[in-house]
Amino acid sequence: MMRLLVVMTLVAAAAQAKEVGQTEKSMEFEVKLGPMKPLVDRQFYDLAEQERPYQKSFSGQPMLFGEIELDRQLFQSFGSFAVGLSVGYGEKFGHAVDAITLEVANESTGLRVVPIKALAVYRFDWAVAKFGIPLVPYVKAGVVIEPWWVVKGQGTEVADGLSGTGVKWGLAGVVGLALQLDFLDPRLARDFDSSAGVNHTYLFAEYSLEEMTLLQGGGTGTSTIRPLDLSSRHWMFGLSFEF
Amino acid sequence: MAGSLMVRAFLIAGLLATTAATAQTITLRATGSTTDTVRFNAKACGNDLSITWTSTVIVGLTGCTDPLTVWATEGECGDVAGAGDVRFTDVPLATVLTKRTDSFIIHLDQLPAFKYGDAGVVCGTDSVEKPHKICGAYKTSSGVVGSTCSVQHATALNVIYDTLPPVAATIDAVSPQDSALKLKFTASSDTFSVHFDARAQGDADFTERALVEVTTGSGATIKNLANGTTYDLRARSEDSAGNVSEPSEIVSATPRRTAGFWTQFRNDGGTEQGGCSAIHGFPVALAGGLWLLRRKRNR
Repeated sequence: MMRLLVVMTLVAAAAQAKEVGQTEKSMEFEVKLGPMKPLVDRQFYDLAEQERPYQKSFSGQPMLFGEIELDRQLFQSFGSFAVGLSVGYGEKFGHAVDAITLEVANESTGLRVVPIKALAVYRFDWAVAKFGIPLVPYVKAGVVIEPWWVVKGQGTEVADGLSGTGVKWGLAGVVGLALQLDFLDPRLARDFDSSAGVNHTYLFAEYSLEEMTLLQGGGTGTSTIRPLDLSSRHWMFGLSFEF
Repeated sequence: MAGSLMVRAFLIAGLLATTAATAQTITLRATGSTTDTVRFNAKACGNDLSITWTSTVIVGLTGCTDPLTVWATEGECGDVAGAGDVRFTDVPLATVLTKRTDSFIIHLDQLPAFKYGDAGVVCGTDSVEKPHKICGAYKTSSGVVGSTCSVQHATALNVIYDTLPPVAATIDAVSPQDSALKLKFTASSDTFSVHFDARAQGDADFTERALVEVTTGSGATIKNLANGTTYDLRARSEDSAGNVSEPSEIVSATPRRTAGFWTQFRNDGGTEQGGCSAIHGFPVALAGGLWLLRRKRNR
């Protein structure tokens, strides 16, 4: 495995060294997917696991989460610094239960979230530019605004006279590693650049940490304040295009 | 030289023949519809039906002068209207070539079965089905000088007097939901839509609560019901002619209150209020962050 990585790196470095005549780059567009499980039940640690609301409604399973992100690079020197905006969508559906007998009902219930993030992004792509090593580590940090809503049957669920919709805010941090794919076919990569203006294509994996209950009270199960905790720690995988 | 002329003549003749034979079609349809069948029941007997002919003629019907003739028949469309058919209108050839499409009106109670009192049937007779075809014919030639005119048939429109009601849909399953009942049903192939009636048990009369077109699926949801009340449900099928079946067998079910994720979250002690209440801290945090940034810069 290690030998393969070394060979890949050398091949990529050789390919990169020949690269000439690239178009100017200033943006990066990402498309990514991953399983995301909101830490709703973190506020209910005093209850048995099977009694916690997310566990009961969705069997504790993560939602399939997709996100797109557009970054504008502000400078490119020792790595590149960018500001970005991302929009994601995730949903998880399960079965509602009979309110009296608690038997599973033939009616669906679902949680939907749309996190919108304003991000500062640093990518250490100096090594790929200088030595052709196709690995680009990066970090992101930013603010999240997250509309959410809960549906049951055909519409939004209402409980205690309160509609199950709202907006949360929080902070997000991301660390990731991107593999520049140009070395797989340098000629095709150059054609993609000259014809479509896409300088580089990356395959990446990133770990995201979101805290969504800041300044909203709540703890980890013992507090009397228990907000809807849409915080998460999750992996995302995707493709990005630098242009 | 002679060979070249001959080849050219063959090519031109072939081109004319091909264009005349393949590019000339006339279609008859109910105005505003693209389907080839129109059904009507006794209630529509006094109505008119607007029919549109559309021609895709690209070159002239060279050498032929007969108009487009249109008639109704109970049998198959022939070359011309026969005895017992009702002839409606002739469209001059010049109109076909220049106008390409136009409409005309027929009176439904003038269709052959009614006009000629077919076995005592009049428009309004119950429990019968009388199919008719609206036919059209015109003549065309290959375009080659000296060729003869041959009859071409327009694409016919089926107009069916149908007073046979469809078989009632069956309600296969009922799922109780929160203030609603979700139904699965099976309808016969001639059903266009299904009406669902409901009544609280003990009430005398049913009220129609849902209408579903079968093309949209085989499920329906009756909403705005009272939880804990048992309802009787029945289905009635309607075909495209407007005939409505007898009601299906009655099934009963009781909507019940259910708890989704939001209710369970609140029941378990969740204090989220929803709305924008949780976002109130955001401006405070933003202002605090900006203040800290400014203070740091001033130092």
